[in-house]
Amino acid sequence: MKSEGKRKIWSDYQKEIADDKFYYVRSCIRQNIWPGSENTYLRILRDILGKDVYESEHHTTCTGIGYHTEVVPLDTLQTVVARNFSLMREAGYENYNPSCVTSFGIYTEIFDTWHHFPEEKEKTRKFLKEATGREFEIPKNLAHTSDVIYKFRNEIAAKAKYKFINKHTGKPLKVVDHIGCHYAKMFPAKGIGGAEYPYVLAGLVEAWGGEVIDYPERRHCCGFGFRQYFVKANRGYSIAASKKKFESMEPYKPDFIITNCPGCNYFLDRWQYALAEMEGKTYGGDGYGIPVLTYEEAAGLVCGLDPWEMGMQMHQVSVEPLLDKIGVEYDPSKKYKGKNGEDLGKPELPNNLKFVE
Amino acid sequence: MVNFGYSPLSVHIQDIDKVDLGLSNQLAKDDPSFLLCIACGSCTATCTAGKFTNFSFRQMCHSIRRGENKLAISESEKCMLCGKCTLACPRNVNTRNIIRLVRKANQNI
Amino acid sequence: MGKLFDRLNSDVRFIEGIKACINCGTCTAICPAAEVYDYHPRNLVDIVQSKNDEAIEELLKGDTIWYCGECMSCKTRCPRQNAPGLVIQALRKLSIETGLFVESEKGRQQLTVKRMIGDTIIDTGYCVHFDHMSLEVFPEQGPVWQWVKDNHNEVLEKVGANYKGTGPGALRSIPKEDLDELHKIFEVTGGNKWLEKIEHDSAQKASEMGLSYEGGNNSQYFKEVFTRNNQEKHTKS
Ligand code: SF4
Ligand code: SF4
Ligand code: SF4
Ligand code: SF4
Repeated sequence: MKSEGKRKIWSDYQKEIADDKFYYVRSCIRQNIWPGSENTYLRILRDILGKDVYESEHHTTCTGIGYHTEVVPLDTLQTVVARNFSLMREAGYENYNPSCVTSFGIYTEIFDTWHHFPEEKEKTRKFLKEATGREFEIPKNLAHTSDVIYKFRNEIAAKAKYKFINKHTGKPLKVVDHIGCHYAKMFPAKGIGGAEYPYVLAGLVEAWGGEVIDYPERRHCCGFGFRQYFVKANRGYSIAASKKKFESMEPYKPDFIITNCPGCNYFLDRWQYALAEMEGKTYGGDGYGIPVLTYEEAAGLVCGLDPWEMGMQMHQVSVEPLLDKIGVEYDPSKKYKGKNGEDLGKPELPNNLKFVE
Repeated sequence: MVNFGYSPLSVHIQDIDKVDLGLSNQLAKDDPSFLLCIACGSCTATCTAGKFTNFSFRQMCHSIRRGENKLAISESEKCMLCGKCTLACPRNVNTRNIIRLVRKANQNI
Repeated sequence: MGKLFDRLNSDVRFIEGIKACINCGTCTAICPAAEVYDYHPRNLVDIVQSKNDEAIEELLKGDTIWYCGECMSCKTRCPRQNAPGLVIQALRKLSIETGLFVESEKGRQQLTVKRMIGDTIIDTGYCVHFDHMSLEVFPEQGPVWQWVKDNHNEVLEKVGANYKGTGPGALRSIPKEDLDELHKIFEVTGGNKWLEKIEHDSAQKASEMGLSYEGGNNSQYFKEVFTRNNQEKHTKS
C-alpha cells in the first residue's frame, strides 16, 4: 500500500520528453558565459546520439531576465515568447528545447497562465499578429536541455569513456547538485523529480557512476534574485545565499557541483572566488575550491570530449583537480591556447583562491 | 583582501544545533505546558500589554525556542501579568507562569 | 486612478498568487530575502489581502516590495498554493505605473536595471551581452574573465561560439529583420512605454534630488542609485 502511494507521487514528477527532432533555443546567459557548454550539447546530441536538433538564427532572448527585473511587462514577454514559438512552427518543428532555466520557467508560467486565462492567450495572438503578422501554436513538447540529457543518460553511459569514479581510490565521486529555482519550484510537476527531490541531475550522476549528496541547503536559491545581483548595492544578498550553500555542502567534501541553470553555474563558480578574496575562505579542494560543472560539461567529460574545447578554461575555479581524479586525458599546455595553437597569455592569479595556470 | 564594493549580508537564521537552548530546556522542565504552544497567536491577539506596546507572547516563545534568550527576556518585561492570555490559549499553556519563569531566569543570570 | 486593490486584482499574477492566506509563515521561513532583509512575505500577503488601500500605497512607495528575488521558493511550500513572489510582481508593476517606485531607495534602482537589461534587449536582442559585461561593473567575474575579454576572438572561436557572426550559433549577431520584429512587439505591447516611463520618472526624481541625469552609467543619479545601500534600514535589528 505504502509503496504504491509513493510510486504514484513519484509518477506525478515524471514528464514526457520528446526523443528526437528538437528545436533548440539558446540561453542569453549560457551563450555569454558558458558558450562552450551549448556547443557541447549540440555535439553530444548530433554527433554522439545522432539526433536531429534544429537551430534558428532568428530567435531572440525570451526577455525573461527583463521580466523578472520588472523592465519588461507581461504582455511584451508573452508576445516575444509567442514569436519564438511561431519561428519553430515555421521551421517545421514541435519540440521546444530551451537551454536556460529562467526561460524554461517562463514557458511553464505562460502555459499555465494561458490555461487558466485563455483571454491572455488571445490577447497575445492579437499582439503578435499586429506587430509581426505572425501566428503561433503552443509547442507539442517542452523539455529543458538537461531533461533531454537525462532522457539519454543510459545511452551516454553505454558509450562512456570515463565514469565519475575516483581513479585513485576506486570510490564514486561525491557530487552535489543545484537545480535552479525556476526549473521546478513554480510547477513541480514540470520538472523531473519535482522541487523537493529533484532528480534531473541526480539521475545523470548516478547513471555515470557518481554518488549524489542530499546536503541540507540543496534546495536553497543561489541568490541571483535578478535585480539583487545586477544592482551593486544589492549584491550582498546574492553572495550571502550562495555562501549559505557552500557552508552547507562543505562538510561532505564534494568533488564537484553540477548545475542545471547557466546563471547558477556562474554564481557558484564566481562567488567562490569572491568569497576567497573577500574573506580568505575557500570551501574545499585544498584551497582550489569546488569545481562547478554545467550538465553539458559533465556529459562531455563522460563522453571523452576535450575540456578546453568545452570551455572549461573559462571557469574561475580550476577544474584540473577533478579531471585528475576522474583520470581524464588532457593537455594542460593547451588550456590557454587558441584553436590553432596561438599563445593567449594567462589570466592573473587570484590572491587567495589557488588556481591552475 | 579585495574590496568589491559590497560584502555578503549576514543571514538571520538560527542553527538549532548551535544556539543556546538553556532557557528553553529549563522552561520545559519547570513548566511543561511551555511545550504545548502551537504558535496560534491567540495570546497575542488578546494581550492587554499588546495594546500599548508591541509585545507578543507568541513571538517571545518563538524567540526562546530559537535561543534568542536575551531578546526574550527583555521582551518579557513588557507583560502586565494580567493573565488574559491564559484564558485565551487553546492549548492551556500556562502563559502567565511562563512569563514569571522567564523573568526569574533573568535574575539568575 | 481606480482603487489600488482593484488594480492589483486585475493582474493575472495577483489572482494566481493569492487565494486565502492563512498566515502560517511558511513562505517567510523559506524565503532567501527574509534571511538578509527586514522582509516577511507573510506580512506582505496579509497587508494586501486586507484590501487596505492606504497600506497598499505604503508598500508601493517603500523598499519592501523590492527585496524579493523572485525565486518563487515560496510557491513550492505554501500550503495554500499562494505565491507571494507573484504578488510582488503585481505590486511592482503597480508601483511603476503609479510612479511611486522612485520614492524608495530600492525602487529607484529600476533605472539601473532598465539601462542594463532593458536597453540591452532593445539594442542586441540578448538580455545580457558579452560586450557590456565589464569587470568594473562586475568585479566578481574574476581575472579569468579579463583574460577571456582580452582574447575574446580566439577563446570564443575555440569553444565553438559564433561571436558577432551571421547564421546560427552562440553570440551571433541577431539579424536586423528579427530585431525589427522585436522592436515592433515592444511598441505594440506597451514595452517601450514602460521603459520610457522608468526613464521619465527617474529624470524627474533626479532633478528633485538635485543630481545630474543623463544616458549611460556616469550621471550622478545613476551612480547614486546603483551603489546607495542604507543597509541598517534594510536589515533586521
Ligand atoms: S499576562 Fe501579559 S502576555 Fe498575557 S495578556 Fe496579560 S499582559 Fe499580555
Ligand atoms: S495562545 Fe497558547 S498556543 Fe497560542 S500562541 Fe499563545 S501560548 Fe501558544
Ligand atoms: S505560506 Fe502561504 S498561507 Fe502561509 S503565510 Fe505564506 S502565503 Fe500565507
Ligand atoms: S519569490 Fe520572493 S518572497 Fe518568494 S521566496 Fe523568493 S524572495 Fe521570498
